[in-house]
Amino acid sequence: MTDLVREDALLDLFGNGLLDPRLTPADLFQGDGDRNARRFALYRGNLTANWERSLANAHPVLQQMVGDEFFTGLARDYGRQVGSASGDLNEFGGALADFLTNFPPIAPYPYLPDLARLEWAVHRAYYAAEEAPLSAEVLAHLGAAALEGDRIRLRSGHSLFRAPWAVDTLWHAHQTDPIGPLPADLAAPCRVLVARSTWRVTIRSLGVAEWAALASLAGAQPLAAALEAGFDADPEFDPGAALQAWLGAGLLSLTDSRT
Amino acid sequence: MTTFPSLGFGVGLRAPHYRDFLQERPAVDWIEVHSENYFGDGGRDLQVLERLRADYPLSFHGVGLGLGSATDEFFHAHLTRLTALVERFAPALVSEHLCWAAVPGRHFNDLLPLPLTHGALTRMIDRVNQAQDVLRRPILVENVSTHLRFRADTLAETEFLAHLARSTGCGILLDVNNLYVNECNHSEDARLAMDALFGIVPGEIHLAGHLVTPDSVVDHHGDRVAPAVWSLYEDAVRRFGPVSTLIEWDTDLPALTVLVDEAQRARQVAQQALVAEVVCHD
Repeated sequence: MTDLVREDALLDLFGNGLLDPRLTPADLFQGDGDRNARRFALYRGNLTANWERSLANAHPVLQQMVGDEFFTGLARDYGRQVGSASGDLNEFGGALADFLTNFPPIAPYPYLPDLARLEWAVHRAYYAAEEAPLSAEVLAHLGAAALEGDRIRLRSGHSLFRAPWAVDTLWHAHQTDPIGPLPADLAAPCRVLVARSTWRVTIRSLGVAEWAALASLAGAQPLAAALEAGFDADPEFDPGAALQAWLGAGLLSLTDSRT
Repeated sequence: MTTFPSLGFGVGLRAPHYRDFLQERPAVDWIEVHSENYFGDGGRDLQVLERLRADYPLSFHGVGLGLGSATDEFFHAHLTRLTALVERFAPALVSEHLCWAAVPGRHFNDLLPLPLTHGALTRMIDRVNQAQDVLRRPILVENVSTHLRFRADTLAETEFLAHLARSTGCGILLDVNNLYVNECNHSEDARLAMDALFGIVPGEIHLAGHLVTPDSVVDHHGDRVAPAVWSLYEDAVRRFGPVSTLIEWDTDLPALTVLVDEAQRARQVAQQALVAEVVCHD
């Protein structure tokens, strides 16, 4: 490739001006400098609008909680400091939870990073691969040996999430059709299953036993061991009923069955 | 010269119109989507596209490859994802833009203006060749609207595109609204810009609305096609013959019927232009 030092320098200057208005490179362009500065600001506006739209798309509850004005500033700070590392804006925002952990303005609201983490898990579930659910018929056909094998997995689009805050209740209370009230006490741990059926993503709060069972399965343990882990966590846990419910909800899949 | 299929008159498919498309199968000849919206492993966007592909020829229009970027950092990963999508759907057309989008360490996710220099042309030729090699098919590259032109420019945009097409075998996606916007913003003659294609027939034409602001005309894709742009389109059809034509709408998306109506209008304008052309030749 030819020497592109000059072109690269122009793009660098352009990029610097997008991130900092004081570095607007108005003189690089044909025509009047003042007019160029105003026109350059249109590109800067596109950039911040894209950041905000993308972050809001993945974090609608966070946006409602902090308010539009604060969210706009957050998107600008996150965009400038972390930025985008993909030409696919659906991937913008994956580091927001970590960013919030070290973002002084939200220090009084220590549950917001976990809320962002939950919303990101929901966002990723939306784009997970299609995978056929394991049915009770197929499981019966596979026989008892399958329960001890490693082919039965949590189905694509399903993941587990836990946090020391009641961000599950918070999330539910901020849906378009709210499911339940705001949490009475935020300082209560949550254990959640993120689940996509067809294309809708929902979250379901799990008890200790079901969490233990599904976490075991997600940790690549056989289904039999996972059910046992549930029972170990709580003797009231009914493995048969849990398995029926999981099959009914399409929560399991067989590996090598991705379409 | 590479030739591309003539698809007729289509509209851009956007998520708020999914339901209407699935229920009504509106009378448009083809649909175009932004490639990146289908980069997921699964989910609703891909499910909808799978259902519509049987009824409409598809076009994948990329907005994130950054063919002219100052870095390769994001290029290959993006191209790999695009290739998987293109192999899955075998679309009629695949296109991208004459622009840059990234510097080392950072993607700007915008269609940013390139210096129109021979150096930038060499880079674009190299990247378009790489893209076509990996995709194993020719792509179309679109002229963009810009608010600014570099002092360093030594080529006109359509001249740049014509060189690019000759060197790589890529096609040209001519956005007639962008030609008009650049005419307003940079006092460039849109008809002279079409002359500078030196007889290369575009593989696709885009039509969209724009917004006039005090500082610049903004290609916002948020309105009906303006009268001056219809007139340029008529001129383009007279020059190039029937070319796959698309109505793009992204901002303040109206009811789907409005887009279908604009596509129908494009069909009428093209038909009249072609009839007038025959009369002139007689």
